[in-house]
Amino acid sequence: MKIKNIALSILETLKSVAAIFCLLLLWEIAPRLQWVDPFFIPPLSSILVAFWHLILSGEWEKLALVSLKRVFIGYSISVVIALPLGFIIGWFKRCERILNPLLQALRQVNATTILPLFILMFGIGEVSKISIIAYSGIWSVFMNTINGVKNVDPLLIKCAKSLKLSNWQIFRKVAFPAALPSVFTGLRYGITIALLLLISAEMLGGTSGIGYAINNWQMLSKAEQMWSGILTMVIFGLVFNYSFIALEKRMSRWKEDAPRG
Amino acid sequence: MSGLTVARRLDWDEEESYFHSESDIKLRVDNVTKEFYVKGFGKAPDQTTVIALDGLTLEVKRGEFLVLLGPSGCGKTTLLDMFAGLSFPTSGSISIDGQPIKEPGLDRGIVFQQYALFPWLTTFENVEFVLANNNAPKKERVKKVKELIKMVGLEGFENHYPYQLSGGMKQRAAIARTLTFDPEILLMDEPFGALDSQIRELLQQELLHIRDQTGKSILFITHSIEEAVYLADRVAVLTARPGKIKQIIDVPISRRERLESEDIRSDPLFSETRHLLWTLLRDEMSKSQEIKEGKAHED
Repeated sequence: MKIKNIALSILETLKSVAAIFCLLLLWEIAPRLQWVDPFFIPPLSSILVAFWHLILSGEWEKLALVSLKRVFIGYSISVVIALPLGFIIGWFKRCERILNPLLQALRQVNATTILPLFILMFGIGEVSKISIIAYSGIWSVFMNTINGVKNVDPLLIKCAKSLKLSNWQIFRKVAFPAALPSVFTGLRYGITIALLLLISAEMLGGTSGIGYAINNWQMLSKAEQMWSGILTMVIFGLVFNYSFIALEKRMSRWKEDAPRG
Repeated sequence: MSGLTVARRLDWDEEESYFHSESDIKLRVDNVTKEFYVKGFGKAPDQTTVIALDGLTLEVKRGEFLVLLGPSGCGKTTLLDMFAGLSFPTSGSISIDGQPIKEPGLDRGIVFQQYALFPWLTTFENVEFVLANNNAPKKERVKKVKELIKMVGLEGFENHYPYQLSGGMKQRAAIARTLTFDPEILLMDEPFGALDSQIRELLQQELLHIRDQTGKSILFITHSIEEAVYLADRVAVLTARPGKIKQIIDVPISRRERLESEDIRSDPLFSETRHLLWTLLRDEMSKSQEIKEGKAHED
């Protein structure tokens, strides 16, 4: 019985990684059999070898740190701006009604499209990159926080009022905890978008960082290195995403179905 | 905050006096009218006035269990909001111990039909909520919360979140939360309305025991005739919208009989009272139905 269970759980795990494994296998075989041009898509093994050399030479670390620093600073700025504003605007209904149309319009402005504007204003240095990352990260944090606060079950507010809580207490003890799951969803989307904009910003006007390096390797026809850069971003994305999902789950233990990736 | 006055058992011999001393009125609703202004839209842009309550007069005596029985849409929720101090009469007054209700207060304990437990708090934390909020001393409040959780039969579920509890358990937790701050009157808005009939009967019985142990005055809103007869000392039958009192009936069954009888529902007095209420309510039901259908026509 026990062995059967273990076998079943192994089978389940295998199933969940089967698709990824097949892709990786295809990635290895297809270039070797000349199904695709190995000049553009080299076999996985040779990419991993190049990746390993990048790590050994210390070049990868340098690039990754520059990029991570930008994301960290930019994203922190967006959180610091968006969280309090989101809570305030979500809480004050009238405020939300007046500002909502404006916010809806503003968030439609694709961050990439105004990247040239940011470069024009702040040059091609760190400031323009960090500010575009901050700008892009703000929206989902902001919108999800507003929605989280706004959509608190009115019965709970009514109940809290009848229990003689002050407005501030209702905000702190009812609206805030009720909004947390939504806030964390916003934080997760925010970091995903910040990573996207990081690469765009580095490609468009950078002399350092992973995005710049990917672009540079491409121009130097170093396909293996370029793919290493792409893989790096995939790994960053996965790590951030799953850490935030873990956080989200922790914050919504009280919910029937915890959110899934 | 005063300590919990558990086991203030009503003296049965005193019971009579509870209902005859006019000076001992806990809650008084005096000629209350409540109107709402509804903004028109679409084809009927005029502002209209909806009269939810029309000259309602009612008294709940100290220690009394009064049931408000009415068809749906008779303004029950409106009335409860005013008891809670969340809205105010258009005219007339509502007072507790002679003091008009001006704001929410912990002298009234409200139990909602949909429980209104905070979903991110465990059973224990939910029951503790009001005490914690008022910074009651930790040791004292833990003791009190444990006591009440035991009283409502939720031992072993202290660390469950509301979503892990059944409807009946949620309502028990909500009742326990209300009892923590020892309100003098409980205002219950169809608290068992969402429960299946077996759990419902069980909780009705337990509510009578809790009342027996705590001596609270209770105003209980329902549209179940059976529930009204089983619980009430007096039943006030409301008319369809606009709501006012149609008639007040004394239920001729003593508290002792309810608690001690195996099956009070099969008692002839029980059936008679039920039938009486049914005849009173029947006309209002059909009126309420007409109002609804009329609305459907307008739409």
